Amino acid sequence: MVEAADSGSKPLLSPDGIRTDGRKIDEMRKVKMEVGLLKNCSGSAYIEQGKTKIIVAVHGPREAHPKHLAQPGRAILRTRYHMAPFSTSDRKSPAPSRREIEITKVIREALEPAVMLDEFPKTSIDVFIEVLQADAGTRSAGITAAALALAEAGIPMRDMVAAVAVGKLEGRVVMDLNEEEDEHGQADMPVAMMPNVNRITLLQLNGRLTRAEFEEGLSMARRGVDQLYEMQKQALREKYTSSEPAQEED
Amino acid sequence: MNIIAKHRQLVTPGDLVAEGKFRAGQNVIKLNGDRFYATVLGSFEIKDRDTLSVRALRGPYIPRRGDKVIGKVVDISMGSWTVDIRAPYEATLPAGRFPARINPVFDDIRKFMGADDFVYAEIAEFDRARPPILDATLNREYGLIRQGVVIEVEPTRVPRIIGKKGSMIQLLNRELGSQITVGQNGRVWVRAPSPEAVSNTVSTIRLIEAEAHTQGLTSRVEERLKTLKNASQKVATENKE
Repeated sequence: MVEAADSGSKPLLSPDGIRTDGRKIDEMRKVKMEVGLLKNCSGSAYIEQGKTKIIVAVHGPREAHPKHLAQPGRAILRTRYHMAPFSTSDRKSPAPSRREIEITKVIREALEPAVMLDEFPKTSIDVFIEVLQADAGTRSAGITAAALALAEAGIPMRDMVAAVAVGKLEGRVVMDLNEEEDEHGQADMPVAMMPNVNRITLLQLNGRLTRAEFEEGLSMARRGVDQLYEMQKQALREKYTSSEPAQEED
Repeated sequence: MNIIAKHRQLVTPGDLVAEGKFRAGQNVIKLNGDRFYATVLGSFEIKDRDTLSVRALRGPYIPRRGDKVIGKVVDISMGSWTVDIRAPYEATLPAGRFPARINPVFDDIRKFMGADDFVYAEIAEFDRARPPILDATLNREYGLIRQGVVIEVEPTRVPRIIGKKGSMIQLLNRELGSQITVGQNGRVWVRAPSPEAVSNTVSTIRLIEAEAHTQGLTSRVEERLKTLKNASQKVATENKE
């Protein structure tokens, strides 16, 4: 087994493949999803992935303001990834950081191929991604929740988008890093996919992977995305089936 | 030829609904060869034997020419009103298309309709390249809404509130003594003889909206109307005593 590069005495992965939080190498953190919790928007979603907690609100399609941004033949998709000041242990300045601006861009590009923007010319669809508690994997969880919120808003999509990060600890490829693993691990690779179209809409890599590790990571990400994809559909269905008897009472 | 989703089944974006030789109707796309996928959350339907479509559960109101809508005045300019019709596009109601003799040069059109007023009108022109134009002169029922209550419902559920050929509206009007006008854009104008009748009508519309995608809705609405009627009769007899 390779020695941990810089994490000192405490290994991130035990020799029998158990991680610091007790997960196996290909095990995702516990995920909870919910849709339709906000009222002042077209669609909303909430996701918990381990200790990461994110809420997403979608507005639109609505008239694009300022007007010069509007495109004559399609809607524009605008995103905002933002971390709440209380989302980290040290206060995070509420002003958008360099990192948040970048993540805003990559999330927009991860969602754009899925949303059928040409259905609503001259409008804008705004996606607000607010990280309430950050524990690694916020961009991928943000994408997963944003796709859910778009679906709940009734905006047509070619496919849902789901995302998960894979990484490398002690020389082994693992699924869905948490904060500690992200900080001290050897690599972090978030992947977003549209499973039906079999298309990758986001792929980033921080660290080094060999070609074999990359291949392994990508297929592991695919398995994670498939799990999340099913959960997304379940969350949407649940909102409109299980809640019915309760509404009948009033 | 293989239909995977059942008729009226709840589908989500990305759900494979059928494979084979079909036609993609509303909210269905063809991908990966002959595979058909849903693009919105809604109920799956097969029309004309081979057209696959999904009736959306939620979504924006998209104006169509001839739609009767209830708009809210948001801005007033020299010769026209800007009207919010709950669509992605704001509509314009020119003074000349308002049912009154207005001379835009001499008259301040505010006298006829001000901000936050509701107006019942028809979409006269809309082609997605230009914003929608309203017309309130095409029918005698159109014009400024002066009395009653206007509530908002999910635009995708308007067809269930109207019912087949207006059956649901007729049922509500008959049983509650109210007069309901449903705008295609998800605004409902309720006029009723008493405050109780208004609140009964509004709550019944809310019931229809909440259960729009379920089956056997009409019978449940009938049942509710019956209990409402009994309750109000009881109150009436108690008052007499």
